[in-house]
Amino acid sequence: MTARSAACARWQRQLAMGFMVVLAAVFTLPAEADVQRRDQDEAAWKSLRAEHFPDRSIADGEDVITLDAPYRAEDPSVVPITITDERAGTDAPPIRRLWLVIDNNPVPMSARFDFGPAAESATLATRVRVNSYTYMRVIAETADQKLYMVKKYVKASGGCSAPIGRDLDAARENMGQMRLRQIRVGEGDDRRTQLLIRHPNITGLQMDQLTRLVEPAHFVDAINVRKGDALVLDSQMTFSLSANPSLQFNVRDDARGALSVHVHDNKDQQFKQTWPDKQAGLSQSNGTSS
Amino acid sequence: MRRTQWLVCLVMLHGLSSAFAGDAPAPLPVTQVADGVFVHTGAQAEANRDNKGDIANIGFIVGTDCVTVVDTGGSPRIGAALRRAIAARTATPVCYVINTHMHPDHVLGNRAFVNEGTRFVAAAGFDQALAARGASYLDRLPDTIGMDADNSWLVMPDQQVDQKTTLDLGEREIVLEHGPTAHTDNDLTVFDRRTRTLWTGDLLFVDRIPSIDGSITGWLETMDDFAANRIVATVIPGHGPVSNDLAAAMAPQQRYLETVRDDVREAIAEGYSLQHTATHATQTERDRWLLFDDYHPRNITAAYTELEWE
Ligand SMILES: [Zn+2]
Repeated sequence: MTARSAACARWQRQLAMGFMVVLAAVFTLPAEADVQRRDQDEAAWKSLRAEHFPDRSIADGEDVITLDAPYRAEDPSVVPITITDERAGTDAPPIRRLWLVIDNNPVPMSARFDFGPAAESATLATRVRVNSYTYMRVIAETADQKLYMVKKYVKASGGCSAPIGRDLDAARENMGQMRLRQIRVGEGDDRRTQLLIRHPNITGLQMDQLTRLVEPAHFVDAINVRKGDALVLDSQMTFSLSANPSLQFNVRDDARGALSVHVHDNKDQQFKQTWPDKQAGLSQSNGTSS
Repeated sequence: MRRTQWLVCLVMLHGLSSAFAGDAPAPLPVTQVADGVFVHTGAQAEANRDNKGDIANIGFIVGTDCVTVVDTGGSPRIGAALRRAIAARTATPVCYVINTHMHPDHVLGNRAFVNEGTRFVAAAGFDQALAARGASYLDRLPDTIGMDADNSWLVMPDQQVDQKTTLDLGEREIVLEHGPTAHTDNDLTVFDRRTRTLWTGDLLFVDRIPSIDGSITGWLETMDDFAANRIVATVIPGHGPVSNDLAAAMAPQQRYLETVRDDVREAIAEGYSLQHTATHATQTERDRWLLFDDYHPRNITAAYTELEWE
């Protein structure tokens, strides 16, 4: 081997090693950044926890609830999530209340759901806005006053500032209009009730860069669902819910009477609608707004 | 990676030398697609560090008194390169910058044209849409194209088009039209009467999958209107190659949007959820488009949340 070719080989080796170093940097840096981001997010949760659940222990909720959320959200203003009640149909103390926390949203405590005697389970699906890469958490409280938590990391950004515009006028014109449907659970024939509410759900964060055209916050902040006189679901929420809020829930088959929905928003507007027994999804009646 | 490193070095060197040369980028390559109508064809990719946001079709039309720019690209640097391309071809002043809608790959080059003699023209609704989303567009740029941006990158229109208006460039009239919510709620078409050239903005995607940020039904109506009422010699889509056959250029997009609309309607009627539909609907189109996985599930989400209220 000549001196020249040895030097050349050495140079090639260095080049190759340099290449690998660069490659390694490319592949490890984002992962490390992710880990850093997640650690910061745990810090955010610590203060939220102190604020909302002081002096209470929260156990790992893996066996109690499942949170299904996409790791990478396709549209940050419409992120579908499902919370599955793993205690349904068991002898364990049932879930009475759920909190939904989106750590890095402007108002992280996003919603609280209380389930009544006409609820078949605490299983619930909705669509939320996600404003930046964040942990999403569900905390469940069971009938024996215990707390359980599950979390999922979601990659999405801009959900709270983006959604205004698309179909805003339609949402405003028909504000308070509701739909009740029976929706499939995944592929199968099992169904659960879906409630859709026309509302622009403006976050108030859709800020103009040039200090004009600021849309004041206007969003649904409470939804109450009853079957006859019995409570299915009582919920409070912030603008973390997507425009035209959607809730899916399970109503007990043996619960009798009309299904009635009462919606309230932060401008103190109220919308009410009832669907006669056994007619859910087929017709609607008595829609009122005030 | 090696190439990227070299590029970084070259860019740094270039930065040093151009700091003294007034930081003027090279003129943007443009093609004359009709007499006095020049187009730069953007990369058919997501905005990234290689293309630096140069992914949309942008260009200009030259009259005897005025030039009008149609869209300015995804950064002020692309806008500046377009400006140099204009200066290399004509001394006629740029009187207008038309933005076909508020998406960042079409408007973030605006700043390069801010000048006393230049009016920015866009459809009604543009300012509100850009104001609402501008911050999140700018926030994403360091991650996507590797550039830091500030509010000066967002340039609002001086003149808004409610339905239709005509601009006189000197022996050359161009017609601007704003229709129903389609690709976005502020789509604007530009038609040069002399050469019968239609700039569709993102009302037309060729080869690259269309993205729905407005209304799928409105978009299909708009395409029906194009098919019925437009006699066009040359069509310049928002993304993809320029064509002389409007019907042929529109056909794949029409098929895609119609299939998505029909499939999503059926899924809703059968009681399938948004989640399920977004991952299953219209997979037949997968191999027919660039960037399918990047946009298709989002398109289904947009279509579903619109059509569930029908
Ligand atoms: Zn666009």
